[in-house]
Amino acid sequence: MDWRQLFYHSMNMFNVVIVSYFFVGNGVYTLLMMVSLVSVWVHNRRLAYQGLDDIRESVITPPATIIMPAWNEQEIIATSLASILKTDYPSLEVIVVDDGSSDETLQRLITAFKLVKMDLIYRPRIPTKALRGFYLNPRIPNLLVISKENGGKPDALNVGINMCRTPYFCTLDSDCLLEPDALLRLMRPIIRSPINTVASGGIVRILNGCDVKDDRVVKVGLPQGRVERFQVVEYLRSFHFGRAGWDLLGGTLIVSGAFAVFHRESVIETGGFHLDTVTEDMDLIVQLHRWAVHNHRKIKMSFTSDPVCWTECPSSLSNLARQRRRWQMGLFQTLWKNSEMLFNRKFGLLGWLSFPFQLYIEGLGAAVEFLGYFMVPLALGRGIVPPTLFVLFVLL
Amino acid sequence: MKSAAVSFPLKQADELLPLLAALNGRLRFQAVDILREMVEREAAREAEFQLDRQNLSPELTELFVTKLCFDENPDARARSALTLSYLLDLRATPALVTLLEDSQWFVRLHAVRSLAKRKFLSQADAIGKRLTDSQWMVREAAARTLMVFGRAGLDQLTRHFLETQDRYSREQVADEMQRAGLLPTLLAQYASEPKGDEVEVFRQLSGMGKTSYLVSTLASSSDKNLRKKFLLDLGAHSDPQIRTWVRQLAARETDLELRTLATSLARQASPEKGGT
Repeated sequence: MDWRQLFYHSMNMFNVVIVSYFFVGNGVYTLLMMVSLVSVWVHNRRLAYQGLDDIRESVITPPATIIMPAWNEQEIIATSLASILKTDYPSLEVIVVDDGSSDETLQRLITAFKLVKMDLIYRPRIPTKALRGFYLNPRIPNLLVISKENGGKPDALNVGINMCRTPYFCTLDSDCLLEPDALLRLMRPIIRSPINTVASGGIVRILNGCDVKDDRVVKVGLPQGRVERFQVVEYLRSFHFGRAGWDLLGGTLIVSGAFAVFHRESVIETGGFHLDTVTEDMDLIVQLHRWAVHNHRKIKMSFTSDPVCWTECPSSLSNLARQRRRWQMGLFQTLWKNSEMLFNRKFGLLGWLSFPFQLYIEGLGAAVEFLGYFMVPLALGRGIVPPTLFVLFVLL
Repeated sequence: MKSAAVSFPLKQADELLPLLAALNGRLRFQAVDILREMVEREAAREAEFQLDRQNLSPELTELFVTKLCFDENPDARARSALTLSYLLDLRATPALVTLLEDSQWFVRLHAVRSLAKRKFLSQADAIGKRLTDSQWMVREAAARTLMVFGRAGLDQLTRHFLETQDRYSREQVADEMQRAGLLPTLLAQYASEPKGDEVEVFRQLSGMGKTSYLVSTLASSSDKNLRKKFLLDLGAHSDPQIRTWVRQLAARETDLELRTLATSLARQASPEKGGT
């Protein structure tokens, strides 16, 4: 076989990959979009009849804890925490875990909230790095700041889980802004569900370009930069189409750890946030699925399309590349680590649709799409792909 | 509907009687909750508010003390606690004390919170038992309720802390004492009174290694008498934070008498565990 034949064979094979990738990807996304439409419509109808007052005032609304890991966040930590403490939720505790910051994060918290060091009970049900101290202000009884040795975000979250005294906890990134009633909305599917809802995720939206006043988004706007604008569209697509659709199908594999509620005991039984992947939130969701299947537990995961948490997105290409490299690596680490789920009938839709989709479309997406920009025009130029087929493909 | 219902005057609460006696537990709960809000609104207007024949009918009183506090719906039991706490009826307090032992933690929580009035001082013992409740919210509420009783409540808390033989229970109470910010109050009492249980509390806390809050309160205090007394009682304790504080006093204290005392304690080569 000479090099020409080899080239033509390779191009043909790649074209098959491209076509199948787009058919599977667009096909599943179309399905998700339709399912999401139903999900959002049903959700909005329910909202009209079920106010949040019931949850706010009910004696049986479970108390919840917001766990906020912080590492070198001296510029924003005090204002961010002040905003979190205003969250509208009955019996709310807030735990900030300073993950061994080398800047003044802890000191600024102590000063801003007049905290004093206390010696509280610590029973580490999930092993973590050593703690340095607990800081409280008796006048703000629902706030606890913990200082610990640096061990990464998952380790900081595990410390928070160990100290959490409520049945549910919410993970929140320290650079995020919460809508005042976001937690109430996130807890509603948990309270309403008769099945143990182990995770409840909400929508994360991009803060860049929005007007913020008193730690609240007062006007939603578009950012100036193209990199940020693309991400606005991408986030909306990902949350409104992808996650809402997967939720209704029962195939949730990703809940954004920037803002999500988890059932504490279930998370502890899976060993908390694992330290061996860089996307600990996705890994935890997969671990929860595995734990439920192996232990014959009936669990539910929920995605709510209205709670809003605002976060800053990378504004430069280099920062975006760094973030996406991390996400892509974390995705592969998680998929590799849990490869037993792939086409495993025990996991049902997760093993047959959700997991393969994540592997083929999300995992290989970057490589396939990047190569496609070069290979498809090349194939067209060489006459391997007929122009009519190419036009049809682009139109589709 | 509920918002509209609670805005009616308490005198018209009799209209709720059919709902309070309804077979449906959810309806009973809603009615109890409406009445609770009506009572809370009235109580907010009057410092010494009480529910007597003038503002609550005997039928309603009877229903609360004989039925609703034992309702099969725990939500109804929980929400009846506050109304019971305002009732001027001899059966109301025993009913509340019964709710303190309820099998549902949120009923116990509401009962403990409802007892946070000085007139329930005699129930301090029963509330003290909730300091070791399995639910942290009940424990915390118990500590805060005892604090409302002033000195007597604080005494109850310290007595429980000192008398319990259970290590875990003692740790729990130590946690609540810190979280509720009781140590500055205990230190103030300790400074002003010749004999009390406070020194024993501090000794126990030092033995448990829970001295961060204690020492930081001492360090920020300007009361010379307090620091001197603490130095004499516990200045030789082996707790590392107390040792550090004593050394700092020896190095920086401006008062000569205190500095001399701290210096002599800091020089002690092998500190005596448990204090002098």
